[in-house]
Amino acid sequence: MNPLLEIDDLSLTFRTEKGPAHVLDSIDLTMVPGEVVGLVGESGSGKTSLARAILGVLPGAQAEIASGRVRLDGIDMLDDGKATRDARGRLVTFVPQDPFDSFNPLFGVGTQLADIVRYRAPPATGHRLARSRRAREAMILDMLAAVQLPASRDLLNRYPHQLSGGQRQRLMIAMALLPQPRMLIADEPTAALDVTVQVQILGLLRRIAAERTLAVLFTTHDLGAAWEICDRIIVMYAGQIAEILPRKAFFAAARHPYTRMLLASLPKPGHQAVGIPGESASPLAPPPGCRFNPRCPLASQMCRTVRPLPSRSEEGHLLACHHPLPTAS
Amino acid sequence: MNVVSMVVNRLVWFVPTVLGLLAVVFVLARIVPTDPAVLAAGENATAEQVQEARERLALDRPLPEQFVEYLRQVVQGDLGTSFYTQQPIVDDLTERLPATLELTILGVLAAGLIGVPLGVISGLNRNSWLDHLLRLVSVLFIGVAPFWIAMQLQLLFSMQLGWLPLSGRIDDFAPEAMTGFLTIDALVAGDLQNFLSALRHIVLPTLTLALPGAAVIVRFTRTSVVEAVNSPSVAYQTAMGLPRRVIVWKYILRLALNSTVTQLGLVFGISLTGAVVIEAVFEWPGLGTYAVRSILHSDYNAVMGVTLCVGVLFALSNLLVDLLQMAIDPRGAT
Repeated sequence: MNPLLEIDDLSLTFRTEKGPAHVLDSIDLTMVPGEVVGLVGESGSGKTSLARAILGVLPGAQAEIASGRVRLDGIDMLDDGKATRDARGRLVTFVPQDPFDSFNPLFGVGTQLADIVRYRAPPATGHRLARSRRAREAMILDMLAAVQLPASRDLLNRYPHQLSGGQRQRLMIAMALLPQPRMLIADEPTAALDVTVQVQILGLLRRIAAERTLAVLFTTHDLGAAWEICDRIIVMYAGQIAEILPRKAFFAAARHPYTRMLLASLPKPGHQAVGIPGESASPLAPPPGCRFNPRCPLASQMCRTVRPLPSRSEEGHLLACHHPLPTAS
Repeated sequence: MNVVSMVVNRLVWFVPTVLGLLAVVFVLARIVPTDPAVLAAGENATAEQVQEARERLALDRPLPEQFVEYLRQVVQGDLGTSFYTQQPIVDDLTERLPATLELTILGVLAAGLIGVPLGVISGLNRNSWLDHLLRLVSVLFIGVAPFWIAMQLQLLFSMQLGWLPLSGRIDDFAPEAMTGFLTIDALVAGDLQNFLSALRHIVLPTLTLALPGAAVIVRFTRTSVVEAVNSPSVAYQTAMGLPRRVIVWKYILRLALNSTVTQLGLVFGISLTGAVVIEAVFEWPGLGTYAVRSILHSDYNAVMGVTLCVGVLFALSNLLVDLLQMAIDPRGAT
């Protein structure tokens, strides 16, 4: 299959008051249509910056692309041209972390959904301004059913604060699907939700991706959630890709010391969860070589000077480490 | 809290507010070292005539008793008689109130129409040269005394350019009073000449009122626009590729208007008091000139009448602001 998303050697720097912050370091990533990829990492690992780069909404004043490119269906998303602006919100849409703050509190949710249809609906479904209010409403009601919400006008007349967290996030997913995109970026979509609602939302995303051949890039710091719904999991540390794992091999095949420590930090019955000692590397002054080396028990002189290049160990498994651990089995 | 209970609540609080206001003004009017009985009796009055006036006006009674008596009259809709015009004060006020209202309402509208767009532009282009210029100019207009602005406008547009009249409300006789707003009355009567005349007269006083108000509105709108621009909902809509004009003039504007409406209410209150000075400069026959004259003549019944009237208007405008805010922000209404 032809790749939908191609990221080559992307390095990104933010200008800050304390000097340049190196938030992404030589990221390579391709995704095919319909694939669900989880981007796992701690806060500050660069996963949100990567998501924003794909959407083409990096803060223009601070962000500087040091190298690389991001292409979505052949369109350069780091450009600011018409093709990029048309792609944003149509070819690729977005499910935010906090569905409450992401709604404007002063408008009914129906108005906000209708504006997405009005300005972002695919051109193929007819000229967007010619389509009537009634047609827009029909599209929205259909979509409510697709995200398992009651397809009622009553819901659309409500304001964001009158809805539950789960309802709001389902509406956000509905808004992301209305333009009929080929790719969806979900930035920690369940972080603001109750645990039971999290499971439902993840299941919904998984099902929708399969039904619509929609590529989903899903950022999270929750390994369990990623394993739940993803075909591939990318583990990021301080702006570098540490390891890319296929879903089925995730727990068994992980060989990067950071991935293994992440797994060990998961709470399990009968086991004491183990934290990762040390602090996450600062993007202001990242350690040379492998950025994980100051916290890695296996770090050698080589790790402190030479960055390990990602190498393919087996099908679907990519590893960037000088001293990989043996497989757990 | 629903609309009805909010309005009832406000109206109930209204009573102690007005009582307090009247008490303060009543005491202030009595400690001024002029004797109203002397004024009421006339210039060449004998000592007996002054004494007679004092008894007629009940000025020889203890202060609390006078206050209670005054309140009893106010409740019956009687604000007393002006020493100066010899007319019931209620009549004086109803005659002059429309002129002040026409001026202040127009002034607040102009302040909003000038201030909101400039504030949005300033907030969207934060730290640009335009933003800095607007901030500088708005600080200037907030700081400068209104009568100075009034006189500069008169100098430029009336004396030098001769475009607009120096003072007054209209050239000819006023059209038949319906609303008391000369511009509207002339328009209703189909009297174009009078309409234009009234309009030309009201431009400079309106500007004088509106400019400091607009300056306040610019600053507050700017702040709330900056906040709205950085809000997560705007970040989301940008990421979803909604057109910038829709995000700005629909979504950001509504977020910003929330606090701007409060400011417009305050500007209305400030304009009512500012009208005292501005009406004097422009010889505008409203409450302001009436208040100035009443104070100068120690016509304290009239002063209290004006105070009561302005206080009630101010409270009503606050009520209106609260209602508007409930309409703008649904979160307070449930």
